[in-house]
Amino acid sequence: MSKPRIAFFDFASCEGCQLEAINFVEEFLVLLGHVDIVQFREAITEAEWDIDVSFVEGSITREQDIPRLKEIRENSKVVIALGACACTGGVNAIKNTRPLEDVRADVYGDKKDWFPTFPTRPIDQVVKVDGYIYGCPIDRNDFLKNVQLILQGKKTLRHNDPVCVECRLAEIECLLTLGKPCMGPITRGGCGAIDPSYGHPCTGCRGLVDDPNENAAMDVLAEHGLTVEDIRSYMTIFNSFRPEDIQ
Amino acid sequence: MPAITENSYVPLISTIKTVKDLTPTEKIFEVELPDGKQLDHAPGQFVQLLIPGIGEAPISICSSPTDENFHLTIRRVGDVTTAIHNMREGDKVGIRGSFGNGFPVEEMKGNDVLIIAGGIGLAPLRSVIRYILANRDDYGEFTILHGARTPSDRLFKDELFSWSDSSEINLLETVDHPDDSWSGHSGVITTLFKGLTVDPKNTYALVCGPPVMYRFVILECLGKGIPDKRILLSLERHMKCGLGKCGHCQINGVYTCQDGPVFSFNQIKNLEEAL
Amino acid sequence: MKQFIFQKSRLKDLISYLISAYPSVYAPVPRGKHFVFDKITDASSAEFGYARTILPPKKYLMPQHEALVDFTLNENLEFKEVISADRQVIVGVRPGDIRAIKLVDDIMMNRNRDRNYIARRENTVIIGIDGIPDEYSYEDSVMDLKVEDGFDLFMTDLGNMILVDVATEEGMKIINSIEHEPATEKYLRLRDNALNSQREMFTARIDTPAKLIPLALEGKWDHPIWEEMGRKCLSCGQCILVCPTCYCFNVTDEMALSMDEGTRTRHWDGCQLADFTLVGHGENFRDNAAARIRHRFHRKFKYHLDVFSEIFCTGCGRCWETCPSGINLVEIANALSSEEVE
Repeated sequence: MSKPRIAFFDFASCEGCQLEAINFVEEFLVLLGHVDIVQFREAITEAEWDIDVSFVEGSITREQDIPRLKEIRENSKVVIALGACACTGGVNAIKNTRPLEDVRADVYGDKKDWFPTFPTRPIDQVVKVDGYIYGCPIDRNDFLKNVQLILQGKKTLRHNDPVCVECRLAEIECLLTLGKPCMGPITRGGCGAIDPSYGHPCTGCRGLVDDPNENAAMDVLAEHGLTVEDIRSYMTIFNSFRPEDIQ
Repeated sequence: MPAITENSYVPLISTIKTVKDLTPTEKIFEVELPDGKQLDHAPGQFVQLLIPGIGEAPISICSSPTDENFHLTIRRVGDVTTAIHNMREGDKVGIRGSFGNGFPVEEMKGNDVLIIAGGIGLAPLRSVIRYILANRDDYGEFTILHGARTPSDRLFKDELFSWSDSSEINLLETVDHPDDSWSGHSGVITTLFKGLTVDPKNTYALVCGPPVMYRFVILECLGKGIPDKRILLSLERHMKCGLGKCGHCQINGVYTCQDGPVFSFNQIKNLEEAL
Repeated sequence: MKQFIFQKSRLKDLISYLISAYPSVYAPVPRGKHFVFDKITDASSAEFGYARTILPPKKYLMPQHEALVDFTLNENLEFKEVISADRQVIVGVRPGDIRAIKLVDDIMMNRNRDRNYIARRENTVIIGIDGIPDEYSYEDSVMDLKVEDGFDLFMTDLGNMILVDVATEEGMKIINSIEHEPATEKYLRLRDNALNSQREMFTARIDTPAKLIPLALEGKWDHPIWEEMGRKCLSCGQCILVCPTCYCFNVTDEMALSMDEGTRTRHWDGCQLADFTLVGHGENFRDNAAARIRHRFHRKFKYHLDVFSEIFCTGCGRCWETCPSGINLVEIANALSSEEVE
């Protein structure tokens, strides 16, 4: 059986998740015995289409992104959203919280008409996505585990258990009990609770769990001294996207 | 419970003997244990099926202990079931079990049996149907009510045909959504109860199907006067160990994997979370 | 059981002996403002002035992540049980945690015997120490503070002296490593006094005798307390992860990078996490926080009591302290039973 052909593509993003992938290429090399990389940043030549797994980084922010993403979808057996921007819209979706015209004026000044954009959306709002590798950036161990699952034909990890689970199992002191606001209780786990392990509160980069109890989370954060305004800005860092933004 | 390996978490490496398509999403697998071992299961029990590297899932045994080897009917829904759907004759799987209580086939002897099977619920009930057919003289009137979503969703079509032909069974079938190929009854499964005569003092009702079906079927059985102790339901839950420990299958205070999966309605009445 | 006393200053020597005599010695050590059980290699690292550790010592009997079965794929498909258990000592275990270990022992060792747990348990020496209640503790409401078994040694702090109960031969060998003398009546009375004054220290209390809570639960399946708590619950699962009497788990297959071998691994899991009762085709049998909290409460105070005649709560207060929303079983128990009176 020939090796699965995998490819990486990016849209609006910092490319940090691909960088993270390169960072552990040594570990990855073992995996390379299992796959062929057919595309990594360079433009695709037609001969290279016929991809088994496409990892797509970045969110969709412009009209012209849509046909390109659809083309990737059509030519890939499996499409995986790689990183926060692709999975949830990520920080790019903060722009959705303000009028688009204002945002464009802020960024491009009087040249704003040269750069048409639309509200930011995760890639699953445009094409069917088969799996998600969450995080800003992705966690290398989580990435590796998920690649293994994908190669086995399994679903990627749901990570519907919040960050608190990993914090608690590792006996990291709960930052909330230390009076620090933390999004851990309603944020998807799988990161090894990396931020809390260094004393930094979780900011929700992996997206919220299914059916998060946001009201209770806001009550808890308010109890720890945050104003409603603080909480709102906290919760929107990585989780601004709402489906109604693009309707 | 028969412990077939010393360590309850180590499965027996077993061989897929045959694979047959039943529907586009369901296949039946014949599985052979190693070294001539026998599963010695009770009808209604289940095994933990392990696809090495993929994971484990609880699967009802759809064959009778009187059959050679054992059979599993598997719908493709998750990682494990998708993986086995891609496997072929001769491939190896891990088997732990059998687990659970099963249907009380001894206690049922001398009584009439009414089977009510919805969808894939026919699979676990097939074990008891085949067991009764193999010991037909031990049981009284034998009626099967079977409902499927569409004619093409019907499992075990060959067997359904032979059962419908047999003087040993009274088989009544219905489909929710008939098509041109279907000349039989249509409607939900409870419509089959109309005109059905049951000797309530002498009947066991065995029920398995999608969760929504149970409440309505129980009402029909009670309506026929069948006592709640003899309305037996096989329940589905998430399970990881099969040993009454991992907690996933707990319904109120009972573990489905050990105390079930077969419960009488009399028991279930006191289990708020069962239905 | 024999009782001895020794000078408190000798405790360090005793721990040093343990470190020299056993491959692993675990003791409470500070972590920030909290405490955890951790491996110590120096007697001075152990600190016993703690109310509770973040996780209970159960983690040394049933680790958070534990290999159960190794397997190799391909033609040589093979499954091998993984059992690794070195001699270990857990020192400084509170009475509630000793009781919790006994409860989990019964589950793991007496029915469908769990070989991994048994191997670890049989290689474990437990040295207990009397408790220090704080505002989250309610041991006094659910158990007898004086534990009679489930340990090798049990120490009671009497100021300058430590009274020690010796329950096993191994315990005797350990106590023989330091200077000690038989405890006279005077010290046994001092221990009773110490326990009595400890009982005074509890500020959190369940009003009903705990074994009568099942009566208070009758007819309360739809009591508003469940919805009220469900609204506060984040379903973060911390309460069940820190619980010394919880033992639910998940098992997953983890592949080596080579992809031709792997390990079936057991992970702590529990009923307060939303996916716990999710089955393959998407049905979730306990799909809201209120129902999950109700289940947890029943499991602690009714379901297991019915089967094992034991309350599966030790009053350690871990779930309470760690809950971001401050949900606690004391408040629920009192809400249920106060209505009984009305």
